[in-house]
Parts: sequence; C-alpha cells; structure tokens
Amino acid sequence: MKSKNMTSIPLDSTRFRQPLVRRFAIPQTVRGAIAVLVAAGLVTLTGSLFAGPIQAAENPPAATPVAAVPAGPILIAPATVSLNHVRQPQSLQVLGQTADGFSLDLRSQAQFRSADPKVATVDGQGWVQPVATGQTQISIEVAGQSLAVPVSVTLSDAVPLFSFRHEVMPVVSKAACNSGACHGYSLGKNGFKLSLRGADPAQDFLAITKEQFGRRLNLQFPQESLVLAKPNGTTPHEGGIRFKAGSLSNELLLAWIRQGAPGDLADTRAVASVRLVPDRLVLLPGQKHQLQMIATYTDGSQRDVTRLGIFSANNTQFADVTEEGLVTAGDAGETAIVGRFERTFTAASILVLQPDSAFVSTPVPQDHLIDRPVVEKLNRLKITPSPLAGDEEFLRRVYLDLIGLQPKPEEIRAFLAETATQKRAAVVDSLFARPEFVDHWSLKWGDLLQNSRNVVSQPSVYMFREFLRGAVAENLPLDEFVRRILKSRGGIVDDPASVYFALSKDTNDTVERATQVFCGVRMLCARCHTHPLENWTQADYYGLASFFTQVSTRPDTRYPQAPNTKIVQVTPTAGFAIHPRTGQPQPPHFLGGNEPTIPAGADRREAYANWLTSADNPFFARGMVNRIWSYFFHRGIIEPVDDVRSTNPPINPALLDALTRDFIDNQFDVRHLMRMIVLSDTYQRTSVATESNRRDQQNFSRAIPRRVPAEALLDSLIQATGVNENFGGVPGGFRAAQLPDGTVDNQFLSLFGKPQRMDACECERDRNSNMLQALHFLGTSGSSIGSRVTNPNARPAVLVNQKLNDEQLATELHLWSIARHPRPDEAAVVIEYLKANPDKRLEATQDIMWSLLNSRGFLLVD
Amino acid sequence: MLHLGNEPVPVCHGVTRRSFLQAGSAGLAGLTLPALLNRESAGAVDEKRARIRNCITIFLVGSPGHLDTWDMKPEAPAEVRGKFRPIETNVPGIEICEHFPLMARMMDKVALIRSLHHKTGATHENGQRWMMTGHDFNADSIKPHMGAAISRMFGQKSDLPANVILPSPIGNTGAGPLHGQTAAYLGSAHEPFFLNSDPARPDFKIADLEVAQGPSGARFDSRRKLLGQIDSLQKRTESQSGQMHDSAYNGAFRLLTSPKAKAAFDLKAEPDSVRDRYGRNTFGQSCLLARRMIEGGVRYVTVNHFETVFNLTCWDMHADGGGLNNTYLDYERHLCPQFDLAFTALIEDLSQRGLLEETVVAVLSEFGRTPQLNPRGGRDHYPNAWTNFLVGGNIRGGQVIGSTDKTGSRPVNNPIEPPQILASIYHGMGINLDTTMLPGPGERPIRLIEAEPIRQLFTGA
Repeated sequence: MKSKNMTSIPLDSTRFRQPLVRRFAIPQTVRGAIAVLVAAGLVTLTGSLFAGPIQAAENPPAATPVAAVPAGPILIAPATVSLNHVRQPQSLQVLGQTADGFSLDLRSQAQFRSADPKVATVDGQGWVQPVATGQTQISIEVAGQSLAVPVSVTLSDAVPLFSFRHEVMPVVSKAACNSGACHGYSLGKNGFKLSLRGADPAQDFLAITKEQFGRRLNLQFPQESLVLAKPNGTTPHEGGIRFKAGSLSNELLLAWIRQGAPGDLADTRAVASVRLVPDRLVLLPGQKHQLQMIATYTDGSQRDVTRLGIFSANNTQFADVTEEGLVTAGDAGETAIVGRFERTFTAASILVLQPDSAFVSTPVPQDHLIDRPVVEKLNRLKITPSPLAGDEEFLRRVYLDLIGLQPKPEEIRAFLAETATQKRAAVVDSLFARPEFVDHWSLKWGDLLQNSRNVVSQPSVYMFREFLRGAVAENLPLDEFVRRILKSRGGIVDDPASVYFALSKDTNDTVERATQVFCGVRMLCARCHTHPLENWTQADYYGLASFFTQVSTRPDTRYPQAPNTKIVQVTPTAGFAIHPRTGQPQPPHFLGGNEPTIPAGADRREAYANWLTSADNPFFARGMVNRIWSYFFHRGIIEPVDDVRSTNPPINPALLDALTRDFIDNQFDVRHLMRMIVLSDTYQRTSVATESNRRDQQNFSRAIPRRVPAEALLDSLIQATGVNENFGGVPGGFRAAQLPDGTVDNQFLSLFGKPQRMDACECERDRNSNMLQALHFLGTSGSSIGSRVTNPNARPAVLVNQKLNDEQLATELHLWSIARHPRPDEAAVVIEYLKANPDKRLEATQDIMWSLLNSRGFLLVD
Repeated sequence: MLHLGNEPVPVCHGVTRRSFLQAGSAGLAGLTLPALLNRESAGAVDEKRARIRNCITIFLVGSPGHLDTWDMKPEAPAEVRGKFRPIETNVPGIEICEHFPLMARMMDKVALIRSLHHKTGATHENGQRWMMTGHDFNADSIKPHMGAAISRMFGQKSDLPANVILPSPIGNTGAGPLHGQTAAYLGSAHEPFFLNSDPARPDFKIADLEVAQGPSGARFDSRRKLLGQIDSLQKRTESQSGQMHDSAYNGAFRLLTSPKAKAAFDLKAEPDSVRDRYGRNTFGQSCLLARRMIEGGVRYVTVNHFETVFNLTCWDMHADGGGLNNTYLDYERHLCPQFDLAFTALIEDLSQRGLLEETVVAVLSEFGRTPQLNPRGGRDHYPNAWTNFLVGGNIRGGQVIGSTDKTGSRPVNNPIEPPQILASIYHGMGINLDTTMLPGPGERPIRLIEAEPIRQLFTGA
C-alpha cells in the first residue's frame, strides 16, 4: 500500500503523463462540441490511457522470479479473452507451479505477441487492449513453452461516454473519498458529503455535479474542478493528496468532466461478484506475485478491474499487497488478501512457507474427521504437531472446558490409576452427566442470548434460565433449540423461550442478535449503511427484519409485582420493515438467499426458523460448529467466531466443512460434536511446543494456553481453598456458574471479565489478564486469595492438621491448587520453603497455596 | 483476543493505514510502547505534538448553580440573581462570584464556557454520564469513562495506573448506578483505579497497596520470591496468554513495591504549608494527591467533589429542609471557599512545577440550577444552561465562550453540549477524532465521540 512498493504500474510517471496532457489540451469553448471532440480524441487517447503501462519494457518486473523452474502445465488466465469496451483492457496472468507446490508468477518472464494488432494489442506485461472488432490471438512464450489465448473483440461504433457509475464511482472509492473518515462520514467533511463507500450513486452524482451550484465541477476549465484539484493536490485539501495529476484516477475523472459530467444513473448493471485470480497462493517468504481482480456484472459480463479495485492485506505479518495487487510474502504463515471493487468483496488465501527439504510429514489419520484435515494442513505448512498431553494436562483441560471446574485430587488420582484404554472417553462421558456441565453451558447460552435483569423481570430471567438449563440437560438438538426460541410466543409460563424476544429492544435488535448468534454474521453495520467488510446492504438487513416485524410485546398483567414481565405476541397483519433510504417496505428475504413466498397472515418467523435450521443452510450449522470449537481452543476455525464473512476466511476450510457435515448428519447433536472434539488428537495435544510448531498459533498444532474464564476461575478457587463466595441478589449457595446474569455485583467476576450481556458478541467476555486483576489477587483488602488462604477453615489449615510430611503436603497443595502433581523440581521448591519455616508451618503452607493460586498454573488452561 | 477491522482504512491525511486501533498485544495490560509508537507514526495519535499530556477532571457532584458562581446576572430580579454579588477578576470584563476571590486573581488562565446545556433528563446521573463519557445511556449500553478511553489509547506512562479516581467513584446520587465512571466495553484493564480511602485522614493509606509494607512486608517478599520460583518452573512454552499474565503481575508488583509508586501516594511527604494551602479536607487533599498522581505519571485523574448528594454539605442546593438541605449559607461558608482554595492551589502548584503546560484541568458538573429560586430559597436541577471551565495546556485563558440570556435560562450564543468538552480534551491530547477508532460494543469500530472540539478554547485558534 505504500508508494515505495509501487513497482508495476507507473501511473504517475512523468513520461506517461505528458502526452496525455497534450492530447487533452484541445480547445473546448463550445459546450455542444465537447462530447464530439473528446470522443474523437479518445479513440487514440484510450490506447495509452487504459492499456496499462505501455513502457513495460523499461519497468522492473512485476514479480521477483523464484529460483525455481515451473513443473507441470503453465496456465494463462483467462483462457479466452473477450473485449467489448474500448476502455476496458484485460490482463493475462501467466501462472506456474514448482514441483513442491509453490506458486510462480511468470508474467514478467513471458513474451506476449498479438497475431493481429489491428484487432487487439498486447503490452509487455500482458495487458490486452481492444482496437477494432474482430478475432485474433495472443501468443505467449514462457519457460520454453508456447501458449496461445484466443481474443474476440466487439466494439460499438461510437466510443461510449464516460460512465459515472462504472468509471467515476470506482475512482471515488479507490481514492477513499467516500470512506467513513472522509466525506463518507455521516456529517460529510467541509460541506461535501458522499454516501458511505458509494452506497448511493444517485446521491453522490448530485453531490458532485449539482450541490453548491455545481462549483465542484468546472466544465469551462475541467482541470480546475474541485473534485480534481482537491484530491490531486493542486488546491489545498485537508484530506491530503489522494491521487496524482496524471494518474489513471485523475485522467478518468478529468475525461468524464470534459465530456460534461454525464450521468448514467439509469444503467442498472451492477457488480454481482468479484474474484481474485489466482484465489490461492503458496509463496516463499519475500516472494512476490501479482493478483488479478475480475468483476462479474449482473448481465453476466466480466471486466478486469485490477487497476480500479482496492487490495488490502488481512495480516501484513504474513503478506502485504500494493494498491495494484502485487503481493509480497512475509513470515511463514497464512493470511488472506481482500479484494474490493465498488461494494463487493472477495479474498485470496495466501500461504507462506519456508522451504524445508528435511521436513518429515506426519502420518495423516485418515479416519478422523478432525485430525485428518488438521494434520493435512500442518503437513502442507511443514509443521510437526506436539505430542498428546499427559493424563493430568488433559484432565484439567477437559474439566475446565466441559464443566468449568478443576478436577479434585481424588478425581485426578482415580483417573491416573485407571488402566482402561478408553479412559479419556469414559471421563468425558462422566462429565456430560455432571450437574456442573448444565451450569457451564447454560451460562454460555445465557450470555449469548443476553438473559439479564437489566432488561426483563427477575421471574423472566429465571424462567428463561430454566429453559436453557433444560435444553442443555436433555441435550436438545441445536436446530430444535433454536426453532423453539425463534417460534416462541406468549408469556413466561406459557413459553419460557419467549423471553428471548422480550430481551430485544426492538425488531432491529432481534435481527442483529439472531444473525450474530445463529448465523455468526454481524449485521449491525448494515442497519445504517452498507457493511464495510462484506456485501451486505440495508436491503439485506431490512429483508431480515421483515421476518420479525410481526413480533411485539406487552406487559403480562399476571405479574403485577414484576414489571418488565412481558407477553410476546405475533400480529399476523403487521407489515414489512421499511427500508430507511427508499422508504419502501422491504419484503423478507433470507440472508444471502432468496425471497420466500409466505402466505399472508402466516407467522413469518416460521419461514425464517425453518430456513435457518435446514440442512443446507450455509450459516447455521457451520457457525455453531465454529463457535463450539472455539470454546475448546484459543480461537475458532473462523475467528472472530461471530464475524463470518467472505473477507474473513476459515483457517482450515476442510476442517470446518467436515465438522459441519458431521454435525448435520448427527442431527445437530451438541454432545456428539463436543465428544468428537475433545477426543481428537488435535484437542489432546500438549501445550509444550516442538521446535517445528513454536511459532504456529493458528493451526491447532498444539494447545495454546488460555486464561480461565471468570466464573470457572472463581468456582475453582472456591473448590481449591474450601472458602465460599457470597453473591448478593441470588439464592444462597449459588456457584459463580449458576448466576442468572451479569448484574450480580461481584468485584472478582467483573475484574475477570464476566460479560454484562449488553451485546450478542462473544467478544463481550474479556479473556485478557491485567494489572488490576493481579492487584486484586495479590492485595489484602477484599482480596480473593489473600483472605481465603488465611481463613482458619481453609485448605492450608485443613492440610496442616492432617500432619502430612513435606512431600505429601507439597503434592496436596499442587493437586488442590493447580490440579496436577508437582514435577520433582517444583516439589523441591515447596519442600525447601517448608523446611525454611519449620516453626511457621501453617503460614508457610498458606504462602505456598497463595503462590500456586497466583501462578500461571492456576490462572491459565494449558 | 480482540481483532479489529481487517481493511486498511485510508484516512484524511494522505497515507493509507489501519485506522482501527489494533488491539493485539496492546489490548491487555495497556498499550505496549512499540504499539504506541506504531500508532503515533500512523498519525492517529500524536502524543509528542499534543500540548496536553494529562488531564485532571474536578467533578462537582450535585452541581453548583451557575447564577451563583460563574455566570452571575446582577441586573436580574432578586428571585433570579440570588444572594451573591459578582466581583471583578484580573481579566477586565469577566466577573465571577464574590466567594471565589482567589480564582478571580487567576482568571487569565481560565476559559469559562457559559453556554453548556444538555437535552436529556435532569437527574444527576444524566449529567454525570454526559460529562464522564460524552453520551447518555442505559444499563444495556454502558459507555466508557473518558479516563478509561485515555488509558486504552495511551496505556500506562509509569508504574502507576493510567486512570485514577480520587478519592472514590460517585456513589448514590438518587437515580441508579450509572455514573459513567467505568471502563465499560474497553475491558477491566482500563477501569479507574480508586483509593476508597480519605486522603484527609491522618491515617490515610491505600489498603491494596499496603501489603508490601510493615510487618507483613517481609512475608509478602518471601511469597513473591516463592511465586517467582514456581512461575519460572511452570513456564515451558511461551504463549501470548502467558506473556499477558506475566505483564499483569509485573505491573502489579511494580505498583506495590516501586518506591516511586509508593511515594506518589504518600501525602506525608508534602510540607504542612502545602497541605494547608490546598485545604485540610477530603477535596483539598484529593486535589493535592491529584497533582502527585500526575507527577508520578498518571494520565487521567478524576477528583469527585463529593461522593453523594445525600445528607452532607454539597453543591446540590435544593434547600429542602431535609436530606438535601444545602443553602446559600453552605455555599458561602463551606463550598465556595473549599473549592476556591483547593482549585487555585492546584493550578498554582501545577504551574510552579511546570506541569500546567501539559495538563488540562477541567472543572465539570452535571447541570446548572434553576434560574428562579424555589420557595425555600434554593435552586433545583437545570440542564438547560450552566457554566464549566478549563485551565492549562494550550487552553487560552481569560476568555468566555458562549453566554446565556438575561436570566441565565438558556444559551444565547455558541451553545455547547458536554460531548464537545470531551472532544476538546481528546483533541488537546493529540487524538485525531476523525481517524481514531476504538473497539466499541461487539468490536464495532467507533469514534471516540460524536462531536467536534471547541476550537476557540485553544491558543492559536
């Protein structure tokens, strides 16, 4: 993105600009003659203006050649070229592959030649420019091979006018004039407001051509138009220089103004999709590769928009990209390059690998639907996974992940003593049967569905909580669970699931909550403007809203003592949601899908719920599988889990696909999915890195430690020390995992990030560590650890009373505090501390427990 | 782990950059230095160019009547102008209440804003939320305190926390718990650190910081050593969460044990003459402590002038004869002199130490008070007009921004709303409000504030 990286297309070079300026300097005084003159001039003009870098031979090559020879076939993309617009040239990609699978960009080594330059020309970088209607072919000589691409040119007799929608709008977007920080800001900038990211071309056409008496355009002296002089720096511009005089952007705008700034708002052709070619690259660190961006329009036509689209890198550590789409690989790893043209997105996955001839592939477990794609991926990445964790590491992890509690010493001992080969499977099944399993997972659903006394009455919260607990306890299939919620109606006794709707502020809130939790898609942005990172528009948003506009609530008079107890009612005659920009009712349509025919008077939520939970729904099963996966690892396969979009691709698509398929095949059985995950080798790997996977944090090659969540941390602390916590406002004896919502005033839980349930986002739970937490653990006043370990009835006092020897005491303290035996060096440190304080055994024991509970071993899940 | 927007968003300053603050490693125990430098070079935050590096907010809980303090209307009828008379200040043409004689002598440093108003309810909490966060909000959409946002933006400058509230957060002021003094969605790392201890008491100490001292100090030391040994044996593979854990504990240990951090809280180190100058009361000593905090490297200090409005002498002058029985007599005898003494001591002290140049002191309140005296001779809540003021940094003193009508009932020119005050402070601290985004609820990148700075406040404007 920095100009220093601009090597391929010298849009701003002086030698390129000069001739253009001369050509444009045609005297134009008679308005009516402008179009004719320019159109006449453009026939020759476009040859240089749009055919890309005609001086290619003088340019450095676009991509650094790799010291490797292509093996296998060389591909030209596209395989055939069809051109029908004089200003829309097409680039040719010349793609090869090394024997070990690295991508090769061979364009700069290739020799291009047009068989008939009167039909189409080609430059040294493979840009094919139409000249006249006819057929020809481009031959390509590369790496000793001869290839050819047929070219068909169909040009209209008249040179088409410059298009506001298809030539000016892309320039405005590429220069970011319409971004949120600039004129796309809701209040505009300096009196000039554009629709955010070009959502509304009609509005933008007015703003550019008509507002302020048209002073933004100067048809007399086009170069003095503010829309040119500001962004190209001729006139001071608070937003700085957006493009240079002479650049493609500048020349397009200028030519459009010279033609009298024609509008083509009636043209309904729109971009239907965009793709990057190739969509997958495997590169060496430092290697470069050009991407090509192709837009497909609603009428089926295609257009090479490499020079008008916007490229960006998801993670520049692994790959960066220039404005022109030249990728440079960084560190070994994986990321995506996002391409955007107008408001449509796409992504190409970039894999950066070190050449490692000594790498020995890990045998692929062919029959395991998780381990197979994970190991296949690791083999491609040349990463050797860590071995399986020992019994204690596994046991603590699976306890915390499944029931939100550490195992007790007797449970650890029993597990270690067990000799059955299937003992890990057996312990997992036993955890499913534990009451804490219900607490742990209904807490999670309570978070996601935002059950809270801030919004609904206490009876409502408890009834909904019971509904969630029941669903977890009976392992209600997830599709059925969600259907019950989405079709619920009535009061809290009639149908406790109805509290879901009572928790919504309004229809929009329901749309956002339902889409984020059940589809993993964040729609909030599209409420007010086109989503900045995905193809969703306001029409998509309000199309979803129309499924829910029949829902409303009224007070449930059966609970006079509990205001905010509501009855959820469905009004069959209620209309559709109103699209705020058009002011028209927006018929319901499924996310990324079609408009269903729903009989008048039917509950439209049923159509939605049935669409959502059908086996071929692209979001639901996939989103849920991804989300549940993330509860057992440090990340989802897509991360963030509730931000699924084309520009945020899964780290291992095969893994996500396999899990999704399996989840659907098993009737959305959550426990089946969880069992599959926790008994996979992938989950059971140790957190200790190998030399090979030390730097990998993305591909599940080992366990990545996570901070224990607030409730599990507090419940484990209580179990370890034997000292309870009293929560206000709930029945006595509640564990942290059993709390009905986030309104409970507890310093420990709020410091450690218990969500307040203000948002449907998984991110509301803070999993970070910070200084105030550490102070809370270390301090004395109100300290959770300090006062607990010194309590006369706490674990240290109990253990000291048992008259254990030093070794036994060290072991017991470790088992209670961090749920594993000490290693010999760890035991030695503790024993030494005990020996150094012979007359203060209780205090020393308290100190040891204090230290263990402040250590990583307690605060993190390995 | 937070992960914000993926697309590099071009900004209005010529370069293309990632405009969302990348959370990454910085999201946690505050921002790391490299991340901050990175951000500075990106242009969103220019701490070096910023004239204001620190902020002290003095929050007048209960809220003084503007007609009785800094927007007097001596020509108005008696039931409007109240009991007090204006006096001249060292800036010709600016007059303030006779009970602020010390402040009158430093009016050349003060920028008065007389056209403040807000448009939501007249509870204390509405005003607190506006002034502490720049938004009004409900329990289901809590917004972060400005100090928390500053902490999130800049991180810690020293061993002390970045964001401190003295002496304690606002407690019960009548209408619920939402006072706008929490970190909200910015995460508990940025919660304000507060004393919960009265710095005016002779035995003043901060319990959380006392563990490392006195007889228990030796035990704390040995526990700390033991924890160090245990932790180093447990560490087998480095991980991000492990590093975060270490950095949290290192920060806490530094705060507990570093002599500099400890000294910052030690009011006994101040000569009696200085402690007297600020006033030997909770507010005065809190202002003194605020200066020590700023010296020690805290970026944002909030001094709450009173924790509640009930059953104590405070600015909430309803004169209701009951739990809210503050009157002119209380203003005259206690409140105005207490404020005058501490506020001017703070400004003088900061100025003498060269800190006023880089520290803005904002004196803020929830609302004004009714132009008409109530039947008991008090005044009630009035969000339609009031006066607050700023001093320090590149704030241009000796000026009045905006004005109210003849009875102080509404702004007549340049009406200002609370978010503009916050926008001005952010702007002064070098934050480009157009290009800086914070992760909002649901990680949605949002602007710090939807308002423009008051350019007129600053020198050179």
